[in-house]
Amino acid sequence: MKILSCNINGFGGLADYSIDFNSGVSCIIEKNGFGKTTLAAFIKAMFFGMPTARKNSSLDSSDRAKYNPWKAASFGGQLVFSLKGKNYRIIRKFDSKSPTRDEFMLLDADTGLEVSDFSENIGEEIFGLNEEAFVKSTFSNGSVNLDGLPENIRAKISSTVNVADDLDSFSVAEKNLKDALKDRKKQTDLCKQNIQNAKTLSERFKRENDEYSRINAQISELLNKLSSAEKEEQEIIKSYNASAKLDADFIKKKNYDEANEKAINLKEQIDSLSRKYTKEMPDNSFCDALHRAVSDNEEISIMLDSQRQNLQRFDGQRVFEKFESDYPDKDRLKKMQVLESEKQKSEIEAKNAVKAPPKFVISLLSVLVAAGIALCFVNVTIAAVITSVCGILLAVTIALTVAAQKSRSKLSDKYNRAKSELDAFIEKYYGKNSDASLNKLCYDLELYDDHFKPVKNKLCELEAALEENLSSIAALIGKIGYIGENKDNFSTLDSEVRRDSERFLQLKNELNECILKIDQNFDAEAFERLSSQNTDGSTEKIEQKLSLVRAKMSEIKNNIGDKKNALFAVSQAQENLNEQEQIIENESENLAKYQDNIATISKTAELLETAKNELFKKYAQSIIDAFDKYSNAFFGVEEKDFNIGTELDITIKRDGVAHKASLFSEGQQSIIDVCLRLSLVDAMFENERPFLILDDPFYSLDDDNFKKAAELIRQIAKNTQVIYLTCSLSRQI
Amino acid sequence: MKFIHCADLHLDSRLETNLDSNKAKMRRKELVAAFENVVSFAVQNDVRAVIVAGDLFDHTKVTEKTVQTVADIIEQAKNVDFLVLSGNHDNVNPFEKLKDLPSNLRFFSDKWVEYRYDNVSVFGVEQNKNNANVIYSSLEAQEDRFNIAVMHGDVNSEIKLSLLKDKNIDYLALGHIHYNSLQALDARGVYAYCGCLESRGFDESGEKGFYLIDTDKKEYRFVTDPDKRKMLRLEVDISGLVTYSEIRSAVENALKNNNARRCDMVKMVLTGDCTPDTNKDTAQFLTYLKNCFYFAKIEDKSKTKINVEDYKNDVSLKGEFVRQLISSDLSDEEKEKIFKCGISAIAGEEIEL
Repeated sequence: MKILSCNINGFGGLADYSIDFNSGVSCIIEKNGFGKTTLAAFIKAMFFGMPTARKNSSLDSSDRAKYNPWKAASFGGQLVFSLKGKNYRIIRKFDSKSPTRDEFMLLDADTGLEVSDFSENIGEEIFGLNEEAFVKSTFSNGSVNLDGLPENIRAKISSTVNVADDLDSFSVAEKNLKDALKDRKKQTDLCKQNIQNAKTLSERFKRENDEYSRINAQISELLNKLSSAEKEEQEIIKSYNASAKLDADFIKKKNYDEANEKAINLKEQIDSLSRKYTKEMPDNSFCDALHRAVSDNEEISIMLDSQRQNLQRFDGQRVFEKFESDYPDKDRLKKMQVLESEKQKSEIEAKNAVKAPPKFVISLLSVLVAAGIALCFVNVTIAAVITSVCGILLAVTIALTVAAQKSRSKLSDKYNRAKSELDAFIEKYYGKNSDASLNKLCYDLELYDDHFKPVKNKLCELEAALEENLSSIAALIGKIGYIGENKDNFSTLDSEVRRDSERFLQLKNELNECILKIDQNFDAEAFERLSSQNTDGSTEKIEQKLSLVRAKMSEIKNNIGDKKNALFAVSQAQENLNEQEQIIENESENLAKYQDNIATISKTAELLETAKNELFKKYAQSIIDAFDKYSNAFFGVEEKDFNIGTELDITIKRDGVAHKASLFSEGQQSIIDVCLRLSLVDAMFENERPFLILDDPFYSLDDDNFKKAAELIRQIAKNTQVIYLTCSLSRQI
Repeated sequence: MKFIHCADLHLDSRLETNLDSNKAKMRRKELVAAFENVVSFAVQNDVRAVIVAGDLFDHTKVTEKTVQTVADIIEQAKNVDFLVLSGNHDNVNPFEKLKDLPSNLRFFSDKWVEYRYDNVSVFGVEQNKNNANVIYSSLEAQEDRFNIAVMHGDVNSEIKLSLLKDKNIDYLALGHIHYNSLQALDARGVYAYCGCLESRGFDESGEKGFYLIDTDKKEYRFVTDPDKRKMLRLEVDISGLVTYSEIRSAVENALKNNNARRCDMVKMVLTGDCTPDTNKDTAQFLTYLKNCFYFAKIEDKSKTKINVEDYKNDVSLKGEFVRQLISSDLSDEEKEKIFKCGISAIAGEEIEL
């Protein structure tokens, strides 16, 4: 096919630009900045449209913006080409933003009628290549940077060789895949490491969990033991309490028995005491009454005794009895007193008479004389003296006596008369031969009046009182029915009764206290029964047993405490284990994903390798053959000192050693580039041979080589339309 | 009289993978809190008993702390009985780890055990291979009482539903299936799966809660908590969508239509057909979703259709690669993965799989 003409409405810097092309070489010489590259892009756009934003595409989707007309012109244009004898006109209009608003029309260039021979994918339909392949093969936009590209394919320099670029793509892809594989392997290793770590930790936490279970079981066992021990403790406490109760009951029983015994004793005492009092036990008031009675009795008795003693003074004083029976009246007494006076008068008179010495003196002297006489017999001189004296005295005495007697006789008759009456009076009271005088009588009477009679009266009163008192006492005794021994011994009775009463009260109180002390609730039978049933031993033994059990419980509790501490240390085991298992699961899922990725990436690499090899198989040999054809034509077979390898690597031999194509000069490289491009075109465009767009490829050739290159182009142009762009006349073809 | 039927709490069991350890811990606590909420509801609504139809714990993983916490929660609700049935995850009763059990906690066994509440009887039995042939004939439910039977298993396998018909059962409270359903058992009664109280994974998304049984009115109401964190699994068909923005917009719409909230956990499943040009930047999506929700996950189940015709004339490495790939005997899934990998590799882009 051949491009006939272009008409650009607006495309980048070109506006309203038209150009016709020759069938062979269309040489366009324009200055820099004209828009040669823009023209090349326009031609491509006419066939393939403007590239859309596609992923994984090497096409520059920014062409739309890039080639948006600078001037306000319609974006697009027309291109006329011929294909298999028919001329077509492509009319495209591009939207500055959206490809969906682009317009395409294909007309029969001759008739101007729209045809449907091709769709808007006209480029692909005609050339059998997509836009990318087309661009990389025949289309040179001159924008490729020659620097920094891999060496093996010189054609990569101008992005003209699809295969070469693809080979470079393969390297990139291979590197990408290797990097991705490396990354996934690293991730895989990391996952495995994480899984391994998690498994290690899981093992540890499982052990801890087992430890936890084990410790838990131990704690449960210990708790069971503690529970058993607590039960045992409770039982022992029960026993202890029972034993203590038994002990207490024992004491209670003892007290009970003691109290009972005491009560019995007391009752017996009370009964014994009561037996003495047949009617009623004397109470306090009775005792007081009795005491009063007895006291009164005693008092009366004492008073009686006192009175009797008083009277005793008067014992022998029969005169008082006489007075009692025959109390001298006052007149008579007076009369006697007169008599007495008379008598005394007589007596005085007698007195004044010679007094007879007392009889005793006579007696005494008599005795002494007798004694003296006696003693004279024994030759006691003194005795003789004394006897003499006494004899004298005696004689005197006798003489006096005789004198006295005489005087008395005189008086005695008066006296005797008075005396006789008095004596009679006195004898009445004092009896015969009494020496009592009237004075005595008066005295006695006075005594009788002042003392005896009151006393006697008192005595009578007292005796009456005593009698009454005795009756009271008897009544009291009768009231209580006392049958003791001291009925008559009031004092003793009083004491006894009071004592008995107090004792009775005391006994009663004691009995009451005793009865109170007796625990009515105490079940002695039950005690006996329990006591006989008690097999636990004494309280002390039980206490010992309790201590042992408590010590055991304490030890168990300590153990439990230790175990709980140990349990706490591993209490998080299950949670930690769960966490690690979750990690294992997560990482396993990731591992599976990465392993799947690795498989995918490996397979991808394998397929890409195969594709590369197939690509080479398909295109490389034909490319090599075509390359040889073109390079031989240019350089000559013998002069050509470079080769193209199966990898499309071009090497130069120097001294039998192959070197990289970087050793070529720039000019040689540009020729090789063209040869490679031509060989690609030969290999890839099986259907319709496309045109070739060369953007000043020979700028670095010397004149001779340029001539050769130009000749080569002219040769190629014989069956391939070449659109040759240059900015120099010297490089015109 | 009211009863609550719940099951399959699986406390302390494994949760959704890829939750970080802090969030996993938080979720475990939320599971326990879900139970606590049920108990609060029971107390506030004068519920007589809470029936747990199995799998209260994951016995292999449950910690003593969790068991004690649950026991404490139960003990606090003194006026409510808790009737707990073991499930297939409760072979060993975890409550046995505790020294003291709450007095209002009761269990069933491998023989029918009956608990009576006025005119209501609650029967429960833990089915195993040894008693499977006996239990159906040994249930003695009186006709004049409201009878609730409790079992754990699948009505399509372990539990013989036909043998439970006409047994005077008014409500068959089942556990094991993690989705709720209520269907007629016979002319008299119904059978119900209450599902689980909280989702543990995206495979358990959907409404979660418990049944409130009113024996007087014979009403059974499914109670949910609209405020609790949800796990949403949403499928988004990205057929025909090309750009990242278009796909993101579709994802956002799906989330909005399902009332997804910041506190929720979301899993977006991309489905449909796309082309190699479709920009499914799943890593970017995930980053975006993680910023919007408590937890996010993306699963790409969309299929990249490779049009062979597009590459027929592509005489490039890419073209050859695609042709080699299509002609290989790999599965469609593998081909899709390798295609994405290869194209990214050739383009020099980071390979995301």
